[in-house]
Amino acid sequence: MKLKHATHFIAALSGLSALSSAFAAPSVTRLNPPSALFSYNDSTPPYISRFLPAQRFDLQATIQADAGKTITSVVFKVNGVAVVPASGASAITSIGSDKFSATVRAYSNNTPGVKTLTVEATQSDSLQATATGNFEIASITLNAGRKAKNIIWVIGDGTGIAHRTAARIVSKGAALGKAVDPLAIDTLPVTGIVTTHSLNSIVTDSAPGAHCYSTGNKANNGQEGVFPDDTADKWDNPRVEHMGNYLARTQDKWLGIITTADVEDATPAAFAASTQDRGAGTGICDMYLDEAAANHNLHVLMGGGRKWFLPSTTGGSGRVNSSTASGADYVVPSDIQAGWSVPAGAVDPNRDLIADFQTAGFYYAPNLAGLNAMTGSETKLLGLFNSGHMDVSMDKIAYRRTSTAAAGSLISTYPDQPMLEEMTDKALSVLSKNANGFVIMIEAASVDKQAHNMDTERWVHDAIEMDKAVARCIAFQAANPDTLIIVTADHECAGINIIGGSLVTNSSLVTRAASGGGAAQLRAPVVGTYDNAKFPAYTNAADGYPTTMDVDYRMLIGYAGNSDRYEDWLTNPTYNQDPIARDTAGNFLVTGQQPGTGVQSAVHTASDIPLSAGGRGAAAFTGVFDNTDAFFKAMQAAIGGAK
Amino acid sequence: MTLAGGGASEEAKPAGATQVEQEPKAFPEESRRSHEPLSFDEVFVTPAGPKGLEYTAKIKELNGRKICITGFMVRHADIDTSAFLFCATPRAYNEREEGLADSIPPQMLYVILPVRGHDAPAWRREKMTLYGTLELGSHQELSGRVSHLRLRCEAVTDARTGALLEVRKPIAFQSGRAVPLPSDVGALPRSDAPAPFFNPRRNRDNNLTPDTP
Repeated sequence: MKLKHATHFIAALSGLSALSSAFAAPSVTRLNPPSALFSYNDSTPPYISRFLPAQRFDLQATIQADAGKTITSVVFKVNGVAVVPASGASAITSIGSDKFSATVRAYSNNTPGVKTLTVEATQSDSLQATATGNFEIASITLNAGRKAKNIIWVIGDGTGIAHRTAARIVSKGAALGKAVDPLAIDTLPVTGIVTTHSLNSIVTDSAPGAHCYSTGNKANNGQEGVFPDDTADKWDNPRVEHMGNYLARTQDKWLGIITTADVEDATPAAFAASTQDRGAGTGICDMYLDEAAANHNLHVLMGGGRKWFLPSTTGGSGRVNSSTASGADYVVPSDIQAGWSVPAGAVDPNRDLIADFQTAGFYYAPNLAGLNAMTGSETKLLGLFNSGHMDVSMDKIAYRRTSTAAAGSLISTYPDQPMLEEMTDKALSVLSKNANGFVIMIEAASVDKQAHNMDTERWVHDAIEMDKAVARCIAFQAANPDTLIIVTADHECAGINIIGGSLVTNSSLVTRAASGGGAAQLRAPVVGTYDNAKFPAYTNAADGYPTTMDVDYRMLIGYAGNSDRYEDWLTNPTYNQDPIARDTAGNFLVTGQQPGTGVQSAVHTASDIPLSAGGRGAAAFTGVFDNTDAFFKAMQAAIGGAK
Repeated sequence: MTLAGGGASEEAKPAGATQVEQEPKAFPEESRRSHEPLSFDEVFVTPAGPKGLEYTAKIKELNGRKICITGFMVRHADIDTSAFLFCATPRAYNEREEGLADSIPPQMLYVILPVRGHDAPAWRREKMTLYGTLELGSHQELSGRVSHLRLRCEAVTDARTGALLEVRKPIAFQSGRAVPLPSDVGALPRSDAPAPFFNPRRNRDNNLTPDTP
C-alpha cells in the first residue's frame, strides 16, 4: 500500500509539474500603438493613440516566450478581424532573452471610431499569448467649409506665456497699464492653452513636444516619429505617419522645415524623421532626403547643422560611421522598407549630402547672400548656415551693426547667417509655388536654448525674432486667406517669469556687478517689485530690434526651473557660458532647485503653453486641449475644411 | 609627461621625497620653447566656404608637431574618461539636452590625457594653456563626436601664472558627472509586471475598478 501510495504521490507531482509547465505561458509585454486598455486595463477615453482616416501606423507587440521557445506566428486583429500585412511588411524578430518583436508595418483604417486591437502570439509548443489594446480613428467632418490650403506651424521652442510677455515689453513697450503695441502674435484672433505631457513623463522634451503636432500622437522623450519598443536599434521602432507624408500622399502638398537650430535637432526632425534617438544626426539628415524629399514632398529645409551634410573626411563634418553610436547613421529593416516604401539606408560617412540634395533639384544656399541670389524660379531650397545651431538673434544683429562677433559665437566662421524672418520669406516664396498648398514648420529654437542657459537677453531677443517671423506669416496669410497659422511651443522652458524691474541705472548695475558685494549689492537694492517695477523702457533701432538690452531700470527675469547661477542682470558678453562660471565678479549666487548634470542648466517644465491661431480653421483652437488635439484641429481644416 | 598630481615620472622621484615635493610647479621653460604657439583663429580658414572647412596652411604645418594653445575647458560630461573638450572661450555644453546638435565650434580641440586609474577630467574654470602634440583629421570619438583636431596633451597650465594644473579627479568624486540613463526610461507598464504603485487613471468616476490589469 505504501508503495502504491508512493507511486500515486509521484504521479501527482508529475501532474503538478505538467500543470506548472502549462502555466509558464508566453506573455505580451508591450502592445503598440500605446493604450490605457493595454497598460491599465482601462477602456475609457481619452484614447492614448488616435489617427486620421487612412493615416498609417505600425502595429507592434513584444512577446516574452518561455525559455528556449520561439514565437512562430503572430496575428493582429482589429475589432476581431485579422490584419493582413502587405507583402514583406511584417516580421517576427528575436530580440534576445527569449523576447520577440512582432510588427505589421503601415497599417491604416478608414473608418472613424474606437477600435479594439488584439494580438495573438503562438509559441513553438503551441502555447498562446494574447493581449488587447485600443486606438481611435478620428472623425473628420467633410465639406465643413473652405479647406486650409496652407498650414503654417510656428514653434517657439520652450516659449511659454512669460517669454511672449517679455518679448512684448522689450520690443513694443508697456506704459500706463497697457502694452504700447501688440506683438504680431498678439494680433492672431484665436488663443488656446495646450497641455504638453509626453508618453512617459509629465515633462516633455522637444522630440515628443513636436512629434505630437506632426503625427497627432504621443512619443517617449527623446523619440520622434515612432512609438517606443524594446530593442536598442534606433531605426526599427513602430512608426506613425507624419503630417507631411500624409498630406503629400493625399493632397500633394509640399513640406517645409526651417529652424534656427541644427536641422537635425529634435523639433525639426520630429516633422520628418522616425527614430528613437533624437541625437542620431547623420541618419536623420539622410532621412530628410531619402524619405522626406521622396515621400513627404519636402521642398524646403533650412537651418544650421551643415556638419551632418559633409563627407566625414571634410573639415567640420560630424558624420559618423555607425548606426548605433551617438550621431548615428540609419539602416532600416526590410519590413519597414516594404511597408513604408523607403530605402534601406546605409552607413555612409563619406556621403556628400549637399551634393545629393543638389542632384535631387534643391537650390543650395550657404548663407544670406545665397538666399538673396535666388532667381525666384526655385522650387526646392536647402539652406545650411552654420556647423551646428545657428547663432542667436542678439549676436547676429550685433554683428550686422558693428561687424563685431560675440565671444563664443561662430559668427566669425559663419558671418552671413540670415534672420528667421528672412528664412521665412524665402521658404514661403518657394512653397507657395505649389497649387495644392503646403505645410511648413518654422522654429525659433534658441528661445529654449538660451532659456536653458538662463541668458535672459539672448532668449528675449530670439522671442522677438520669432515674432518678426510670425509677422511675415500673417502678411502671407492676408494675401492667401486659405492659410492657417498656428503659433505655439513644444513646452515651456526654465519656469520663466517677469519678476519686476531694476531700481538702478545700467551704470549702477555695472558698478555693482564688479563689486563682489553679492546679494547686498545685487538683490535688495536692484530688484524692484510691484509698484517699484514701473515700466522698463527699451527702444528699437532701424533694423527693428532693440537698440540695447542694457537699458536703465531694465526688466528683470526669474527662473523657477533653474539650476545654480550667478546673476548680475547684465547682458552676458560671452555666448553659451556656464551660468555658474559667468557673472562671478558680482558674487550674487542664486541657488536652484535642480542640480544640473555636467553643466548647470535650467530645465523644461510641465506648464501649459499658449497657442495663437489665425486664418482658415483657426476658430477651432480655443479652450484648453492636449497637444495632439492641435494636429487634429489642423487636419480638420486641411481635409474637411472650416468656416 | 609633466601633468601635475601624478603625471611626474616615478623614476625621477628621489628617495624619501613625497609626491607633492617632487611635482614641478611650472612647465619647464625649455619644454615651453619647444612648443609652437597656435590660436583657435588659426585652425580653419574663415569665413567658411559654402561647404566644408579648410585647415589653414599654418595648422597643416603643425600637424604631428608639438604645439601650445590657450583657451578654456568646455563644461560638459563626456563619457570618455581620457579626454576633454577645449575651446577659445568659456563654454557650457549640455550633452543630455542637446546631444550632438550643439553650438560647439568646429575649431574645438579634443584633448587626450594619459589615463590614470579611475580618474577623469573634471571641469575647471581657469584660462589654460595646453602643451602637447597636434593631430589633424576626422576621427569618431567614443561619444560619437567627430573631432578634427586633437591634442595628445603633455601639460595643462594656468594661462595667467604658468603653474601646472591637474584636471583629473576621481570619477567617484565628480558629483556633476552624467549618469547614463536607461535606454528606454519610458516603457509603459508591462502587462506581466506587478500593478503600478499608482494608476494615474484610477480615481476617475467611471473607472473605479481595482488597479490590477
